[in-house]
Amino acid sequence: MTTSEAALPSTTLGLEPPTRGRGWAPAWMRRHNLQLWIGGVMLGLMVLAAVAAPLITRYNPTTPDALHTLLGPSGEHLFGTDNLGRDVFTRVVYGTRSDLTIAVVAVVAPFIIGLVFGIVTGYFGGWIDTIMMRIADIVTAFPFFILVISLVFILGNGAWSIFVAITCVSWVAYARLVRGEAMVLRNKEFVAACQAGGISPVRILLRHFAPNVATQALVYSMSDIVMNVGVIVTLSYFGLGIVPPTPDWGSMMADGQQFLAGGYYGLTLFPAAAVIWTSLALSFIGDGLAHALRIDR
Amino acid sequence: MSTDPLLRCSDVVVTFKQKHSKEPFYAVKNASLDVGAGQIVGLVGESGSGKSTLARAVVGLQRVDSGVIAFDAHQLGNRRTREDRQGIQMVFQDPYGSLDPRMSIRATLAEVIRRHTDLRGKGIDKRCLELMDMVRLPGSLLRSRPAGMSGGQRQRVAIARALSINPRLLVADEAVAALDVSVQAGIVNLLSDLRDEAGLSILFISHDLSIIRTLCDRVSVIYRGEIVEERPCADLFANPHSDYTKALLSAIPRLNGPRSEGLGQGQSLRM
Amino acid sequence: MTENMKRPLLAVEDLTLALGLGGEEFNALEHLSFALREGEARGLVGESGSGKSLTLRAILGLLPPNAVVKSGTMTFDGEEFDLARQSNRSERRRIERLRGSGISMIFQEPSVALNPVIPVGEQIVDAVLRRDHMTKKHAREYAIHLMELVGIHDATAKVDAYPFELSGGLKQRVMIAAAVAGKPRLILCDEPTTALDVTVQKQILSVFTHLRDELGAGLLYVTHDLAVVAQLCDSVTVLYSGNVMESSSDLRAVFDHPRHPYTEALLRSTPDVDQIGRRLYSIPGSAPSLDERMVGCPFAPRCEYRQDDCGQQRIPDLSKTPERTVHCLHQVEKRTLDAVLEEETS
Repeated sequence: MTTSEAALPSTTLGLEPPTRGRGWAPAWMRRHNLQLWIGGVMLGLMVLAAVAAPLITRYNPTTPDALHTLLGPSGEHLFGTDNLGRDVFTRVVYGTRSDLTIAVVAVVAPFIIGLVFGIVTGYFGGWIDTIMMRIADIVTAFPFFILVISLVFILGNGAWSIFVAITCVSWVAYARLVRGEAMVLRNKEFVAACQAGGISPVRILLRHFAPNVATQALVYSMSDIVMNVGVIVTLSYFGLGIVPPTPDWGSMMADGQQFLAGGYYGLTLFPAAAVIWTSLALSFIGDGLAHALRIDR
Repeated sequence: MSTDPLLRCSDVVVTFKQKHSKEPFYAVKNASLDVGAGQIVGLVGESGSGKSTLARAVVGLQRVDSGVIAFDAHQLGNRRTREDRQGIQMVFQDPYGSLDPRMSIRATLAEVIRRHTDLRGKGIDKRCLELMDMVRLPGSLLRSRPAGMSGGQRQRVAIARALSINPRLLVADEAVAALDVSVQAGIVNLLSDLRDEAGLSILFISHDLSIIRTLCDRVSVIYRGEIVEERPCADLFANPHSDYTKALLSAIPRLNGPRSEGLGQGQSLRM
Repeated sequence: MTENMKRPLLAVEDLTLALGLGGEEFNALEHLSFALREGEARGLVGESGSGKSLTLRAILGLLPPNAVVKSGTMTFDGEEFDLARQSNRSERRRIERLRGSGISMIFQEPSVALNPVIPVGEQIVDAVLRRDHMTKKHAREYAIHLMELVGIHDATAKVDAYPFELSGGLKQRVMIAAAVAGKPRLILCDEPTTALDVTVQKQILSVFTHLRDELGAGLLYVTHDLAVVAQLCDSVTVLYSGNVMESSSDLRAVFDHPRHPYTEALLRSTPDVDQIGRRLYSIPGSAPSLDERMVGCPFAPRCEYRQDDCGQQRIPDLSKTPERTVHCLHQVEKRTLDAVLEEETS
């Protein structure tokens, strides 16, 4: 019942594998945290292109051009044009604006909700924990996509409903992650030391818990953005997401699909490549962050 | 009331709910314990004896069911005021868990100083350097985080944090148990010096009788939540009264003691 | 100590082992040699980071994935093994085969050795049956007997418990019971009693003593606790930072007349109930981490007797006696530790 009073010496040096960092990158990459740099550059290029879109392309993403439909890639049209004669490169670049913005914004709210939720349940435990985790269980009980699709269906198409739907569902993952971390932290002696030092619970939660548990959540949020991109693209692919003619990778792929048989691969391939590029960039960043923020305790 | 000791625990009872029984579990049963000003009192017991629970109760980290904990002739309740907390501070066992890994040493110390004193800015810097000096650490370490520090250094920082608000009583819960022998000696000496130089009183909780013997003036033996014997250290070691203390003393491994004996008669690995 | 003339049960020769850290390799053990006869208990003493646990793991081929044995041979019961060839599958198999038969290991952390989904009694029974032929019922009674021997009071009630139902201390004792159940010829102990209470520790030490004296088992006992070594062991090897500092087949010789400054410092910093009013010696600084190790004597930076030549080369054995090894250029003069301590007390 009491805390363990056994005198266990600290971990024996060297018996733990020293590179505990999760991840798949080879050692030379991890040593200089190259993933973070590569990911940062990849994402930076995308963000730059999205922001400076009107400067790097002279076409309008939504204006059809009946004279130049279904052209292959050329100097004039880098990625070719689609069935309505719109420049695919321009649409991919403008698609970044809508897709990435929603994906990133849709991470912030769940992150904050999950962080608060997880810290409170993890720190206080007891009945607060029981009730709050039941709520989380209810959300988890439904398959992710079915829940999101139903919510978007109810709320109607558009960026705002995608944002609400994703928030409603994905905060649970953050809450669970943070709760687990907070429960480990609660038993650390520095928390008891703070209590003995008369530090208020609010300060303990804000100053000691939040920074310590936020790391994991932050790393996870990178893969969550990837997930969100996937969700948005999927929804749009099914016609539930971003309302046409606003450019979006998902609807581009869906539209391009019917021309695959005709050999017009570019219409599907280039937006798909953008999705992969984004995912890769964020995975690199997530892995790099995990490595950079790791603190040996 | 000059005759009152600095810390007086009388008939302290701490219970825990048990999972499979309605009966509460008595972690500490009617324990009484005094720590005089400038004294180092050892509280020795085996695992599960309730020694850590009693220590946490003294510091106010554990609710007490009944009994009195009085500090400086002033009774302490389960809810402690800031002044109550200032008088008694604690050092924990695990040097790796007792410091926030994300805070620099200066931030760790400053947090407590700011809460309990009017010091700000330069005043805190000065105080931090004083504290590092007290625990014999270089002031340059203030800017580092715990990650690069050795167990002994971390434990010194933990002591510095406890001392930062000038407590009169330090509760050390297995504070040297996780350290290597050579490092442990340094911490034991430090505690002893703090008593001699600053008049600090210490309640030293340990399972290690050899260290208790080296460091303490008085010693209380706790067994299954009850204090079975409470006497001056030299007395207790020379002439233990209770059967439990006798068993405990005879089990201490000694550098120059008799060699371990085999199993008693009738006991064998053969069957 | 009983039969000094016997050939060694276990001999480790020139074991050098490196650990990979962040792409670089650092020697965690250097040129380690020792031997152990049947019925002999050798203490392998050192602080954390000294490499004492790695030594045990190297013997059984249980090294962490980032460890590389650079050199070293081992002889067990007349059979020779090349520890550096553990990447070779057949050599590794030979070493692995030792684990069940003849050598058993007791870990500091019991949860690594107990199967969580099998009742503890059954795990001891399995160990018994691996070695002796007897009925299951008989083996179960023997298991209960063993559990009582290692200080589990209500063994009959605990025999069917699962590991998670037992406290850490009880699990530790179950693991010890399981390790001795097969009556091994050699027991490797990695701080087996560090987490236990002294009263239980005493009982466990008695079990080890019995195994050694009555059954002639060899014990290789890794610990940081000098007093436990003094009670149990016949011989001792003192490690620091992966290097042997001092070693002797006669433990008392080392404890009474330490010749390496590190051994002396260690003894002076150990609190002992029999020495009152003595200020403990505190070794300045702390042990170097793997990447901080330098040429020469690893203890030199913290040593009172340090001189300029300590950091120039690897220090050879300079003991001048066959039964003892002392890797020090400036050995402690021949005075007894008691005299040193007395000086300090007064």
